[in-house]
Amino acid sequence: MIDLQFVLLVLAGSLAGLLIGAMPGLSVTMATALLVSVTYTWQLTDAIAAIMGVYVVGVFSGAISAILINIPGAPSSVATTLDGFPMAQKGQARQALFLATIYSFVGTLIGFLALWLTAKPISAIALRFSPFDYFLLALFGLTAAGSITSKSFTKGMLCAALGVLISLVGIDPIVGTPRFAFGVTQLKGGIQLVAALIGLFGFSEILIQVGDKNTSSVTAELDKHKPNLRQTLKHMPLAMTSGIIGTLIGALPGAGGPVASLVSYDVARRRIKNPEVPFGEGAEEGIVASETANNACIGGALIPMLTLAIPGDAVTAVILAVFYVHGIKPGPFMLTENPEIFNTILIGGIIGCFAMLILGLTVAPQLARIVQIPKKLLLPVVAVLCVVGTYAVNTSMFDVYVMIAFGLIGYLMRLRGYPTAPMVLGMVLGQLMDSNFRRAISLSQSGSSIITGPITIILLIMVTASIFMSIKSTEKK
Amino acid sequence: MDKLLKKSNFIEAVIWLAISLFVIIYGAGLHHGDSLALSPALFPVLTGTFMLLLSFILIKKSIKQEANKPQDIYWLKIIFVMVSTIIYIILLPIISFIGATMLYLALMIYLLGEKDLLILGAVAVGTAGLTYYIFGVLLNVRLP
Repeated sequence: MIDLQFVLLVLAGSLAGLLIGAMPGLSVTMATALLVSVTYTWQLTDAIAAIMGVYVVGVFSGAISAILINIPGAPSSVATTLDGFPMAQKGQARQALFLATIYSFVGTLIGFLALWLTAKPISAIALRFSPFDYFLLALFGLTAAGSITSKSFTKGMLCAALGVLISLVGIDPIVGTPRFAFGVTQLKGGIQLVAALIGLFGFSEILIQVGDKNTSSVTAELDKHKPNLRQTLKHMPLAMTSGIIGTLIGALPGAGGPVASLVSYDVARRRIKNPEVPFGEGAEEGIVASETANNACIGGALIPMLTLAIPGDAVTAVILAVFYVHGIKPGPFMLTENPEIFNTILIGGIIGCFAMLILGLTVAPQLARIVQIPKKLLLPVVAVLCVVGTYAVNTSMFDVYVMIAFGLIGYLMRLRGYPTAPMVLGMVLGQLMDSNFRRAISLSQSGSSIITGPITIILLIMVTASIFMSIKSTEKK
Repeated sequence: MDKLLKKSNFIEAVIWLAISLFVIIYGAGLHHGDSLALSPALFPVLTGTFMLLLSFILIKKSIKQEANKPQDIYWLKIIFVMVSTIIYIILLPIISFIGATMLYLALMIYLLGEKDLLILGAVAVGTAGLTYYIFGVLLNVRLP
């Protein structure tokens, strides 16, 4: 299972992730979605190897352009720009990149440690879930995503509901009749998730970049100073806190790296009263907090995806698609029926983590020129990759049109302040919610209680609290 | 201008209302006398009803809230990208992947602002060829 080919695939994925994550306009989600189609005919372990390399290193490498050109390569690196670029402007770009590398490595390890420790206990609890429990868990995921990712809970929940409706397009799994197909044969097979994701995260990003009138960017020069290891390692206690924050937020459906890094940055800013350099002016603590959290998020997001089949972020939603394409169903039974897949993900992630360390220390500082490829050259190439990647999954031109449509939908959503994460989550969880809800109602009609035990009560409380707190917090805004 | 922008929020909310009503009516039509618990109509109708409530909240908010600031966007470029990409997809099965891709890339790069024909040609031809080789030959991926 784990052989030289596996390691080489992780390294290849890591290199691809380094380049893709560093370039504004390309996203790890889009790259992972493209990989679904490329790895369609591969062994599952080989597909996981490549994807874990892209995922782990891609999240880190968003920090490269954040530090060098003040444009985050990935949304999860937004907080890194706040102190990374000021550091670079003061002639400390190498130290900033060094901090980002070391603490992304630390954060990833924390996240994977949490995954290793909690996966079995969570799966054991999930095995006792009734259909109504699964419905409530999915509902909690949607309400959490709806509130975390949007200033407006109403808009977040509308997106989630739209995602659920999109997931219902196709043949009803219980009765077998078509729903929302409107007589179109291709729609009876449902909306291809990968096509929708490439559209929402790839093509819509192209439209955002094309439409953006602000095209100026300033590059900081790469200095010749050697990074200071002792100075770097003194932030380890802060990294532990940020790693835990990142892991917990990663485990919340729909939240992901951007939320984790911003929350962690905010916590660090409030806790550290007298940093050597103020936050926002080149504080090393700012980079540490942001980068540790956004990489810890990776392990965190994999926890619900593997144990409950509920993705923690957009990339894990795509990884779910990889499993389905290969005929594997993630969830509580996966650890007992396919434990080797869980181990493959862990090992792939750890190898990716070390690849990130090596690439971050050696190659990343040399990427200054690459991150500045003009949009007019980069965006058309990305558009071609979106078409190629979408077509490759099912060799269907209809899917390509679906991708374009979702690209336009994603663009309009972002323009009008609607978050895409709840919609993605709705698309992934919609069928699960539908079938489990109907099973629960059917069981209750035959005499069983819908509330089967303490798990149901806890989940009901969580859903109610999530809705109540979301409404309260958005009213305050 | 403020009233118009506020109106766009209101129109947006009304669109959501229309979508919700459509979902409820269409969803209800999926029920054919089977048990409600197993009916394919149940979840669409429930989801549509939930969306309807949210739409009313959005309508109420759009009447009360301040208008959003106008966004400075290159709308013409957006329309151009959409149209040219659709034409590209239509041309793919007609004039082959490499031909269609070279044309698409050349056109897009030119209209996004690159006037140096050498760079334009190099990127268009190079990318089409490289994509064909990497995906079609090396990775054995079916190309359009």
